Amino acid sequence: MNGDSKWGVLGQYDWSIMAPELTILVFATLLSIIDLLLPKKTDRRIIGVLGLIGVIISLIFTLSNTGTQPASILADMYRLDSFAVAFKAIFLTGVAFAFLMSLGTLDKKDVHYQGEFYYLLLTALLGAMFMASSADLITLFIGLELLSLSSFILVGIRKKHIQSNESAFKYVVIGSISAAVTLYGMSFIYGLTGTTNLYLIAERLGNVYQGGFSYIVYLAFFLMFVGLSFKISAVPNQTWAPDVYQGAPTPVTAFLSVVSKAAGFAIILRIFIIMLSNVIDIDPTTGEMKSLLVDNLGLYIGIVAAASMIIGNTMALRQVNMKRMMAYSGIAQAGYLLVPFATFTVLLFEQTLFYLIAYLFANMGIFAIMALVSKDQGHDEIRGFAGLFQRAPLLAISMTIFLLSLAGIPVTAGFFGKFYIFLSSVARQNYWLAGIMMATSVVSYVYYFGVMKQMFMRTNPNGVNKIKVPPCIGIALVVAVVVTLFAGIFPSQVIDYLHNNFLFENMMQVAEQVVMK
Amino acid sequence: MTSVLAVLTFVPLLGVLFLLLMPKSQQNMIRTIGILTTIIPLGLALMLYAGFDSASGDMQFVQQLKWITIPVGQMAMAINFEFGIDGLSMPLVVLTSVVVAMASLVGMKIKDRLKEFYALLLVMEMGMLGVFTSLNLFQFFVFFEFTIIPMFFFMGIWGYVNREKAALKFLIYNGVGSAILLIVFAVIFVNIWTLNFKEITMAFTDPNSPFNIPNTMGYLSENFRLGLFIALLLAFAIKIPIAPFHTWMLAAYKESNAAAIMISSGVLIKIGGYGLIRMNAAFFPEWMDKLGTAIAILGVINILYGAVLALAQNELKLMLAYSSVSHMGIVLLGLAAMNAEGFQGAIFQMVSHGLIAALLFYIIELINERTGTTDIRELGGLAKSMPVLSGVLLTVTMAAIGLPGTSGFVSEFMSYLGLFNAHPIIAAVGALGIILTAVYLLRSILGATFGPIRETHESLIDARSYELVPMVVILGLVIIIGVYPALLSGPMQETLINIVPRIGG
Amino acid sequence: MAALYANNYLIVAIFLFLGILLPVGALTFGRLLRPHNPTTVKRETYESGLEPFGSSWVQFNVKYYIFAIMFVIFDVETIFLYPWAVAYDQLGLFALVEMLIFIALLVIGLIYAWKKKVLEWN
Repeated sequence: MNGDSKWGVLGQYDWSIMAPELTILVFATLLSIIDLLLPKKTDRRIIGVLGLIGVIISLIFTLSNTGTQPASILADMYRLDSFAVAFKAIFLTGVAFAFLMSLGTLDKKDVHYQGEFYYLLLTALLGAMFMASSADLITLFIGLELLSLSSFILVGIRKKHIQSNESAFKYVVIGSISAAVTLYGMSFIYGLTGTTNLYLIAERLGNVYQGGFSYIVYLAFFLMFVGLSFKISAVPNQTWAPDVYQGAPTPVTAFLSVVSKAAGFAIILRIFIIMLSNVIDIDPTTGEMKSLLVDNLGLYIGIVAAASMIIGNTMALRQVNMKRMMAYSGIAQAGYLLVPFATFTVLLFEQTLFYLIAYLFANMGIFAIMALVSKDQGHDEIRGFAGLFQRAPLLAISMTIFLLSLAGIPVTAGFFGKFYIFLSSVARQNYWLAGIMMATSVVSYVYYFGVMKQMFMRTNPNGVNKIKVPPCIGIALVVAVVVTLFAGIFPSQVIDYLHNNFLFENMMQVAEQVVMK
Repeated sequence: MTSVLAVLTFVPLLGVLFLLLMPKSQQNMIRTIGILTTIIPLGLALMLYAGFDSASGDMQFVQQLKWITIPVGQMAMAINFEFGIDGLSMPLVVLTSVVVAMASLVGMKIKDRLKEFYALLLVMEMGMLGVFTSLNLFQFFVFFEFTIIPMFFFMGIWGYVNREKAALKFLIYNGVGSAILLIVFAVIFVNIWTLNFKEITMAFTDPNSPFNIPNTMGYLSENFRLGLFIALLLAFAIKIPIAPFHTWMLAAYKESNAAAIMISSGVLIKIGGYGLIRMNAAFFPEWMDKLGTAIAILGVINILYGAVLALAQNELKLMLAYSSVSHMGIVLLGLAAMNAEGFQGAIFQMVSHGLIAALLFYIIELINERTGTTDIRELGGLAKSMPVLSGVLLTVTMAAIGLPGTSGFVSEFMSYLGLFNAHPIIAAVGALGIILTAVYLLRSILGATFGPIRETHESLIDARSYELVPMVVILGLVIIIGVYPALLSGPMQETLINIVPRIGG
Repeated sequence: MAALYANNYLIVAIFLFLGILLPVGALTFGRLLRPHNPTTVKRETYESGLEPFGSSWVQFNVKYYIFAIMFVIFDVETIFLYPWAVAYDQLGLFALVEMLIFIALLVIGLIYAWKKKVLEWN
């Protein structure tokens, strides 16, 4: 603070805590320029490789921040705490997978603008990172929009593909409506508290709620939750998922199903947990005090979770297209992931993150294999998997592991993730939610095992030629299989890591503004 | 010696590893590895039987390892990896290893995808052994799933026309069962904070435990226990199966291959009975006692329903499937008796039926392979062309009917003896089943082996030497148990004394 | 307090009501007061004195839109630059750097458009 008056107050912030985001920003900008300067004939995969390097550098920066005290700059517009670090690590890993997948399978005939494809993935990632790493409604919303706008283009990037165009249009329309609904909800909160800073909102909202505005707080919550349910593709905003998943190029579908969904969870947890932390509901007759977030909203979130599980799992039964099936499966998984939030316990963050990790690797693995198979077969239908075991036994076995993980069968990460989530809903005596979760899981066996049936019990009419696995997909699959099995057999290691290195409670702690040393 | 159970459980995986390294073309080598690997657990199981201390009712060969801890605030929920067997699980471990070793011989006939056949068989064996040697609910569940998933593939890959449908049906029914189990296990875990069988039994039954003292913090009400009891009963009812949850079994037995049926009828459905004793009876003895009549009635319904429908079948495999329903009813009768005789009868019946059903299905599949049909109307006079095979079939049928001198007699006798002490009227009704069993079994088996023979069936090959092995081994065991039941009842005596007094019988 | 909050919405409601009332009222009054005597010529669409021809549903060249978007970007840039330039003395070095970043980002966009041949009309 040596009198740097000419730089103003902005000069005093420690911008280094923003290193992961800045890395992505710099890479996205540079790649867009490189793409323009490269001759037309050059293979654009070089941009993909550079982008992957950027993602990995950013991941290293992010992981170097684990276990640090919460810090914030720009009046909480940017905030770094364990919650942010954990979610950003998930986004970065997911995007790294999407890059590997694109490098291995993206077809120049299909996606003409390959340069744009790679750096738009980066900008979408940047948006997601801001959604996890801010404590101000405005910045959070801008992150949300950056992610949405980039993904709108990515979905429609197969310019000559009619389904891609259609799905991009649907995505834009539904996305805009839900963004508007979210914003409308936020405006109520701003109107009630006069601030967009989440900690100030938390400070003021308790009194406001007591002061007769409880219905408006509820209204704001519902509007925001419904709007944000678009990002996690939960009921009631799930309708876009099948069409968009089907139309988008497979790596983008993978990105939407994992990174975009995780970002949705990040923003939902961040906003509601901080915002509603001080809101206490007092029963007028008994005088009993209840936390709005922990005790009262669980029912509504639980209903959304249950509806997502039921609709996702039953609709998936009838699908013949693999991507559509995975879309419905993703809706159901969003339902599972909402259960910890609906049954609020101290385990909330660890449960959500464990399940997200399991979901990330299983889903990425499935989409990587799907990209290979549909490239080989020329279509995305489930029957394309017929006889995969004879054609590529290792692919079929990896696929089986991923599907088992999503179905929640031991000893995969998905099983323990589900069991872990399950414990809290049982402990809170939320038996109906636990029951629906288990019942719909059994329903999901039908379609997950339907894919396995194709792979192991049928033969492919197009012959038994081998499928060639590009090295980058090979790397992605090995990592995904290893993590899925490791986290399934030794879940304790993963939980301990999360428990010891991430103090999620510090999300509630108002950070001191970091000033340059 | 302490890790003998872990070795026993995981040794099949070693075989899987070897199999994966084998080239596909080396069919004979694959068969040899597959069959030899099933011999090792069999040897180990017999070694355990020899080393088992019959004077103790506690868990033996116990081994405990830390596995998972879930930090909850300042505390932690622990899930261990623990093995052990007592007089209840020991006979079932031996049964499993015998049945799997015999089922592995079915592989002699399989030419298509042999490697996968043995790999799945061995994974399943690990699952089954793990179920019986686990000392906690979580581990039990994990291994339980390891029996279901490989079985799905096993049924779906090798079998008859509608095998995929049958496999899916098997998966869904058992999936529902395991889902219910998981709910119960989670409820127990979050309330008692342990998953260990012994600790849960203590928590539920020890009058001094905080869960049993009304008006204290941790008190678990009677209705709560009843809920858990019913849920467990439901889950195991699907497994055993109790009518009307038996439909998965019909499809499965009709459409799948011999090894799958042998394992399913020989071992998998016994997990249901094992669970009923290990969990329902041990955790909730007072409800087991109060609901004894209901369980006995369920058992009688099973016996009569299965028997009557078996009588109406022309398809040998379906007849045997219904006869399985009927025979598993006897297990329920034994449990409902709530006394030492009844429990002993139930366990005897589980082992005895496991052996007999496995062998019956094996022989029926041999006939099917030679004649291309299992329809009684198209068979007949097989004793002329295949005297040895038909002879064994008749003998094992006699054991199924419960002829004295076979294991079937001992188990039925004890079950009914136990039930006559507790519920004489129900037992009398149930005893009708014994007569019906004789009628339907003799009708169909005699119909297949005697009478006029078809021309096409006149020159069938009799049992080959390797086909004789399962017949000799299983028939031998059936007769040895029948003649000298103490071989089986000796080790379980003390264990049952541990469980029964709590029931108050 | 709750009443106070609701009062704010009252103002919005009044505003909304007036906003609807004015045009509706004006048009209704106009209709009541004016003579009603239509002829063919009177009913024609007014297009700067020219006689209208063809359908009014014409497809415009998509390049118009891209040009329009380009224009808006630079329009906004000017709006930002103007107040910044006026208050430049008080804002200091950091604001200069920030503005340079802002302009640089727009320049990248311009280069992109240029390279993608948006600026060519053919």
